[in-house]
Amino acid sequence: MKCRKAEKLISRLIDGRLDPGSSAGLEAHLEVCPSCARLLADYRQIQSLMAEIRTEAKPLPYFVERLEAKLSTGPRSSFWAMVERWYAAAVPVFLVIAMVFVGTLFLVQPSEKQLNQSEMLLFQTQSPLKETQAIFEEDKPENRQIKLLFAGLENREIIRSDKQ
Amino acid sequence: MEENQIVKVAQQGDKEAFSMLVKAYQNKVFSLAVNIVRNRETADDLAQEIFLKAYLSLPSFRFQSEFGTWLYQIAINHIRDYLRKHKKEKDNLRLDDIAEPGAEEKEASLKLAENQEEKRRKALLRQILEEMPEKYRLILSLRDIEGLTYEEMGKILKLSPGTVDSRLHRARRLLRKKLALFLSQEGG
Repeated sequence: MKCRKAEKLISRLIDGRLDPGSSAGLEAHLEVCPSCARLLADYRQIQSLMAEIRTEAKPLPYFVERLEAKLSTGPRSSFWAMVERWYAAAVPVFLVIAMVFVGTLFLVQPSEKQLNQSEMLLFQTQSPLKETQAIFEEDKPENRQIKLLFAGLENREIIRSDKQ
Repeated sequence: MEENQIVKVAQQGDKEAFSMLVKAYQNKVFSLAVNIVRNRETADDLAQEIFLKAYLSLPSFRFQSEFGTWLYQIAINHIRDYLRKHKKEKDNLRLDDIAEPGAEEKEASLKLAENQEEKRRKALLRQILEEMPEKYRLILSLRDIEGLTYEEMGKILKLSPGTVDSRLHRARRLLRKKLALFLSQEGG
């Protein structure tokens, strides 16, 4: 038996896990190998030292009571824990988005909109209703038709220019 | 009431039943923690956290192993997480820094009282264990300090029996190497 294998078997031997066949082989090797015999003595000594440092200790006072107090507060579900984590991350993200939005409102000026005729009239404090009323008050139906036609053409032009 | 029955009642949310389990295992869990972290306050905190984790995970316990083994599994995982998080905070004193005693020190140490020598020996072993890689430290603690069987260690550490065997062997070889000087002194 080689020392390398013997070393493995020695570890099993001190744990009482060596099968009888391997045990006989190891014993024969130990009789002729002082180095492995020394190893066995060292391993036994280490095991004994390890057992010596074992601390059979009791926890600090009121261990169960302290734990019961923690349990009675009701451990939150993982869902709420997740919401809480995301909430903490969401606040700064929301602030950044709000700042970008407000900044956009201040920086981006709306393009100058072309007023249509009705809006122009309203802007000039002339009611467009008066003009409409004037069309309908026209006595001659031909004149009324022509005025309506022109008003319609005017509106189309305004819509076309808006699209462009 | 048998332990499995208590566990079943605790699984239904009965805190009194869970407290019975805590009372039965508090010393074992605390001892496991204190033997690894070597600090009573830290071990107490860890033990509390371990039982809280166990309480929350109790509905998922399927009785495929004994309750104690399952609890030890939670305890070892929690202690391992603690060791990883606090690795940097560890005392930087390494075994290599422990100077070989000089002639005067050797002479003085012979005159020391037996209990002082024992204290020194234990302190040295604890120091060496703390400096060992986490996987070796845990398996040595479970086997040689806690006295767990290979099968129990396999379940707790989720290792095959062959891996338990080889890891324990490597851990002992490293520990012997670290303790070589001390062992030769002890052996005369």
